[in-house]
Amino acid sequence: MSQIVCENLKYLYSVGTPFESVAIDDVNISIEKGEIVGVIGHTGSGKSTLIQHLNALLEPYSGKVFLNGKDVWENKSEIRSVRFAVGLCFQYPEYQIFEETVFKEISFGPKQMGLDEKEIEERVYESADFVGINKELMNKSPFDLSGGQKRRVAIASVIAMRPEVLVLDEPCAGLDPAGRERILSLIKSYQQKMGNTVILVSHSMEDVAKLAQKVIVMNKGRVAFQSSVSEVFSHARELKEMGLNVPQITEVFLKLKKRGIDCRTDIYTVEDAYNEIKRLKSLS
Amino acid sequence: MISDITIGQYFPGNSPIHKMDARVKIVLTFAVIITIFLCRNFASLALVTFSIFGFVALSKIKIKTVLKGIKPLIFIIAVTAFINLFYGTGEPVAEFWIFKITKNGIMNAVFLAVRIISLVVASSLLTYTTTPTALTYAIERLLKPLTYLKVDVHTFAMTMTIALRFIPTLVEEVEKITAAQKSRGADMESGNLIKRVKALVPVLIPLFVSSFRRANELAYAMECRCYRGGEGRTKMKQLKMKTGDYFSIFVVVLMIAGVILLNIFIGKI
Repeated sequence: MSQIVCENLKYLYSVGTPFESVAIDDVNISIEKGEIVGVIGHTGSGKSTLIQHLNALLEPYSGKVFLNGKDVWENKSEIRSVRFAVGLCFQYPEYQIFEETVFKEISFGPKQMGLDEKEIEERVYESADFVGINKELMNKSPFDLSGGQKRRVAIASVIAMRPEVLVLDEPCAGLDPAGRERILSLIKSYQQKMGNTVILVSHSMEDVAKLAQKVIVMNKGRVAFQSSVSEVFSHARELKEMGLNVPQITEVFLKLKKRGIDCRTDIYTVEDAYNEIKRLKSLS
Repeated sequence: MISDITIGQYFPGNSPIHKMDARVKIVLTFAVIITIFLCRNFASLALVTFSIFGFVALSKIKIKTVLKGIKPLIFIIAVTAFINLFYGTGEPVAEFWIFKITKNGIMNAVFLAVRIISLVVASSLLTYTTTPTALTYAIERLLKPLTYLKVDVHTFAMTMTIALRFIPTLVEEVEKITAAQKSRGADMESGNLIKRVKALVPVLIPLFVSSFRRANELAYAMECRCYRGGEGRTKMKQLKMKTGDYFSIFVVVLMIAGVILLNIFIGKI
């Protein structure tokens, strides 16, 4: 059984006003437990609307969302338990940071779950350690942190709820290369250590290629592709038409092929490229 | 949701009402509102109400949208009408304990309800069909005589423009922050009043922080574009009165005359 299933999901914005518009329509996806799934799409393609359905922030206009086989909207009074099970971390930490100290900030989620003090403390230190926030920072104001640190505190505050599914909306946007690398490796090790599902929304084809096993491509509110990384990135032309792209390194190999070099084109990471070049060299 | 509030919102359109000079719209709206209060009987109130809905029809704004704007006020209208039921004079129609409902009371209640609805519709029509910028330009222009009294009208208008401009931004921000906090399990929908007020803290603090940051950035951006107050500033879009404006003025004057005549010839309710 798939962990998350969306069936014919449809959502409209501003229903009943002249601004009414379709955000997503006819979305059918299924996500297995333990996968890292990349969600890519142009701005306004409905990515954010889609992920806000996964933790029941938005109620579908029509269609259903199932978590472990249960309709999330079946019992409205238990909607918060869905949000604890599917932890969603938004792009901008500025929109959630409000506490006096980093410790309190990270403990907000666990506190809402009604855990006892000891358990909260344990989870806060565990998740802070996980995202690489030092103990010395715990009593500092979260407003004094750098952009990358704020982002990591925000992720820690979601991880501290120990969600079965972690959804990250553009976790690397606006970070410098080092901060970006750090968040990506953190996501990877989180998934490996916990065996939890991670859904990663990103603009960067490189990030998705590097981490994800499966990719969902959104275009104009609909699912354009939903498949493995190699399957999705083999549609280079269609992706470009949607204003997306394949990873830069893939493009290099596509162009090499065009020039008559007999190389593979399913190259998505620098590591793939390294191996392929080595292979080509040994042939010649 | 918070974004469902339609009062004060602008709905883009291309109707004759949208095209009117904002100054004329403001003055006429005030004139209509004053006229609503001048009405002393159903005939005159009906005249004003019909004229208002005539303007609404001309603006091509869906009647559904207009009625949605009244929805948040239903409670106030109902309570006002209900209280007025008992303040009539004359023969009681129904009576219990110390309360008595008279024919006059019922008439008063209906009259008041219609009056409030007309007021709301008339004033919403102004904001529905006028962009906030046009509105503030018009206010700046209308208040210009006050500069002789050393009132800084331009700064006042600019402050208002900025405030109005950022309402949708703030609304959007509140929604984003609420979504982020709800994702962390914040409970905003249940509990007693004190619990609910406390639940607002995680939303208000990020909102304040970002508002101050935004204000700072806006000030820098304005300085970078050499903003230095109102003196000598010209406008790209000049306000100009056209045939439609003169025609509307004519219609409203006719309506006021009608109301005065009806007030004289038909007695008070």
